[in-house]
Amino acid sequence: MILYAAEDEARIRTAARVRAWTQSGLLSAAQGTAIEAGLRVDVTRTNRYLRFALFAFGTIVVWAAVGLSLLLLDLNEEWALAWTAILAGAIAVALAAFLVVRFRLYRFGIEEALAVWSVALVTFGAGFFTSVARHGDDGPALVACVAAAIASVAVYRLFGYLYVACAAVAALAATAFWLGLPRFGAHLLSASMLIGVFFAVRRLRRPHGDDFPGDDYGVIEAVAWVGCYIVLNLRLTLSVMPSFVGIRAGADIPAAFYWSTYAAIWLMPAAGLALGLREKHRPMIWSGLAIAIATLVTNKAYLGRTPNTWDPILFGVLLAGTAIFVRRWLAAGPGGHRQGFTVQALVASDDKAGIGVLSTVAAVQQPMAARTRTETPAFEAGHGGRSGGAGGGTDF
Amino acid sequence: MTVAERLGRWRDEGAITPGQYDALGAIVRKDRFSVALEIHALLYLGVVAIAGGVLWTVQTHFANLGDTLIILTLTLIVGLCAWYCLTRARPYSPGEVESPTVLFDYVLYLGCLIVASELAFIETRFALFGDAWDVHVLVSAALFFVAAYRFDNRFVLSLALSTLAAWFGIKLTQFGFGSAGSMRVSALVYGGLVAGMGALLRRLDIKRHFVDTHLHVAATAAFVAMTSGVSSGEGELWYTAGLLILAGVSVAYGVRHRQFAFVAYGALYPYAGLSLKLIDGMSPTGVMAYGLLSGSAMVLAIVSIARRFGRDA
Repeated sequence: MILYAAEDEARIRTAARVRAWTQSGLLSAAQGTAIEAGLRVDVTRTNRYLRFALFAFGTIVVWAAVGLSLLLLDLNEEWALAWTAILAGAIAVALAAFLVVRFRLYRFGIEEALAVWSVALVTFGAGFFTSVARHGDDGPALVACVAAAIASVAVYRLFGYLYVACAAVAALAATAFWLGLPRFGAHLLSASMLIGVFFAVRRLRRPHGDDFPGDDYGVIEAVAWVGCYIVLNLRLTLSVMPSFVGIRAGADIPAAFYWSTYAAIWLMPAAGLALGLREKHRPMIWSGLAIAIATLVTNKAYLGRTPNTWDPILFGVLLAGTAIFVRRWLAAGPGGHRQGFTVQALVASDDKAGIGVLSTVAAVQQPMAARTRTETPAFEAGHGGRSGGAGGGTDF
Repeated sequence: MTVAERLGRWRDEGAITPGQYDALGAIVRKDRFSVALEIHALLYLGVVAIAGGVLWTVQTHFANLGDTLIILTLTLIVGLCAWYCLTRARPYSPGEVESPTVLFDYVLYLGCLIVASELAFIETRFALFGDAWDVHVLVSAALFFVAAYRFDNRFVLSLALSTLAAWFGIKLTQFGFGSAGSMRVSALVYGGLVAGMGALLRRLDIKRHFVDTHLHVAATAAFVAMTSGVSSGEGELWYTAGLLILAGVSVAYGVRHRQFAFVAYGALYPYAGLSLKLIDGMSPTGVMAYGLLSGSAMVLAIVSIARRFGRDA
């Protein structure tokens, strides 16, 4: 990253690992403190909550400043709005760079807000500027996607925000849908671009492994793989994102292409998991699992079959059964592992944090939704009478 | 310098022992690679899918299946889950207790989800509680709290808290209060109750690791209620005063206990509540100027807190 020395980035990430090892009891507290002191970097940081709050207020400042400028300068012309957005984006990224250079801010929230919104402003400005010149075609959306991809890469190169790099991948993939190609061509081109990104980033990651910047590249690689899957899974894109890819008529998908993508959505999870397991590359393992689940969920829709109410039960049994089988198989290996894979939590704090996320999700999904009592006490199929919990309510 | 090279250097300097070098080196080189989290994620998704499928099947086919078959099947599943948990559970302790097996937490969670479905089904079909039909939700919440504390399970604790919240919503509509104002009062009572439970747990030294979950849920409920009350048109002054007091308490607690999520709550919610009130009727230029000035002021305030108290990443 241009604004941070690679050695500093490596030290910060190593310090995070040392902290996790200490929390997991692999190092004593005294050892952890001493080693972390040796890894200290001259940057100003804060915890994730204050970082989030600073990002939120930074967002308010950026948009209020842009809005106030437009109002005070009384800019109404479309081209003036477009140029103002582009200029504001340039100023925001310059200000973010200034804060980093002057105050050594690192993932502090406020400079992130400036950098992230600079991408949005440039994207909006470029798209709007094009729309002034060309009405009624896909030009503005295409320019906006290209601008978003370029600006995101620039911000990633400057500041190293991984999520911005992932946004760049998404923006690049989206460009294919605004070139005026038939839908299957757009899907194909988008998938090809994502596969290109996948192999390019994979090549970049190899010399570094999990060390910086290999860890970043590993995530981008997995995101490109998942993106390619999403673009190829026509049921996912047609059902979940119709407004995005359903701009043109949906009838221009040849049967051969449709069934080729059906084959692809079964092959990609297997290939992704195989790559991830072979290289012990965690982001690829997660992406492989996620798209395998997506394939199982969309399979019936692909085949045009009606889902059964017991499908989720079979799906759940399959997931839990797989987990139990894998766990037992690994635990039964010599020394409780096979090929180095183990079910023991080696860095317990990492696993606890992950399980904490799952339990938070458990709180969000409220099975006993609050229901009001209905007028009809009788209970009929599909209508119900008394209110109930467990998500059943009157339709129980 | 790679992490593996740093490990070698730390060993040579005596910062870590050769045994630690071997253990950490195996992790860094991926000679040992844990898939524990992936197993947990699959189990969690599996349990949620099974419970959802059971509910969907019962909802759709209860007329064909018949009450007896449904109740027997659900009871059998609950019974199996209960048998698994009761035969494998470690003795109760007020401290943190590790799960006896990887499966344990998820079997318990599945059992609780199915209990919720079964109680709701029985109440819907047979009206056991008569006019006090919402009691089954409260009973479920109580059951989940007992299970969460007995078996030290965060998933079930989350379920208990969300079920109790649902009961508060139902209870309110039972009494005929349909207004947003009474919902706010209900949320405040719920927040107070959950926070009180958390404080009591801390005082009694029971499952102290659950206290944060209680406080986060309580703070969210109370802040949302107060924030929405500031511009509600009824008792605005009280809600404004309450919001500011709550924010002060939250920030002070967050700074004192280094729980910076509470500092963030104390900054974001009052800002949102008061801003919505203040910008009401302002000109667009005034709104933008307000956003710029107040946002900058909040940034400076949080930077000050971050520099003094919240440096840790």
